[in-house]
Amino acid sequence: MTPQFDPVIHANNRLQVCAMLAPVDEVEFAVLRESLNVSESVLSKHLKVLEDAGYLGLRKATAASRVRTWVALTAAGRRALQGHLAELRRVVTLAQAAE
Amino acid sequence: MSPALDPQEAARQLAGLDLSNAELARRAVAPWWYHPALGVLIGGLLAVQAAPLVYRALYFAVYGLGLVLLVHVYRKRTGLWVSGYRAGRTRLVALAAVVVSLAVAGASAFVALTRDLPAAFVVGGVVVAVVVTAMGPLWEIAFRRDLADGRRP
Repeated sequence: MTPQFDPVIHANNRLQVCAMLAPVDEVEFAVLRESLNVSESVLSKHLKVLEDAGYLGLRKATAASRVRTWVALTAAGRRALQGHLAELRRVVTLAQAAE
Repeated sequence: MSPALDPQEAARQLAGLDLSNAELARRAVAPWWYHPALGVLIGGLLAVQAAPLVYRALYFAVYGLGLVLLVHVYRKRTGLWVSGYRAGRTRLVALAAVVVSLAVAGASAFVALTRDLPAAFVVGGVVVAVVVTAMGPLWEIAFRRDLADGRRP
């Protein structure tokens, strides 16, 4: 994977969202909100940025008359995350080598 | 390239990923009865081959409904869904379960058909149920190890 800084993913909450979505197929909105310890509106804004970049998809499902939103990383999102993580590791490695 | 990226910030962000992995590992634990139920459903597919056609057809309906219910419960309890065949150690565990189950099914069919012993399907079904039940917790261990390694398919 080629290291590639991604300004969309770089914001800490968005990186955490992508990191939680990457190993699984889908995560429920409420679980992401609880894990990140942020408000619904804050998480919604971050998800919108990622969705607009084509990095994730949102799906609404009704169960027991309650609507739940499920969030999944797209293939483009996975590639962007892997590139960004590779870039973070590259920067850290370079800094350690320079010490 | 990211000339403006602070190495300390990059290190902090990478360290923060451990938290998200730990959170996933904490959540991705099925109820204790989930894997036995899945084992019984899948083992039942083989065992029911000893029964008349009408019962086999009925069981397929039960099997389908059971799978739908299990997925529903898992999603509701954990708040996430993850494919059993996801890349990593987890895929090896899932494929091992499939290979062993198919081998048992083949052996059962061979015995049942060549020796006119339909009960072999029932015995095979029980073995498959045990295999699937045992593989479930192993799969969860593999998933947690994949997370610890930062394996992100």
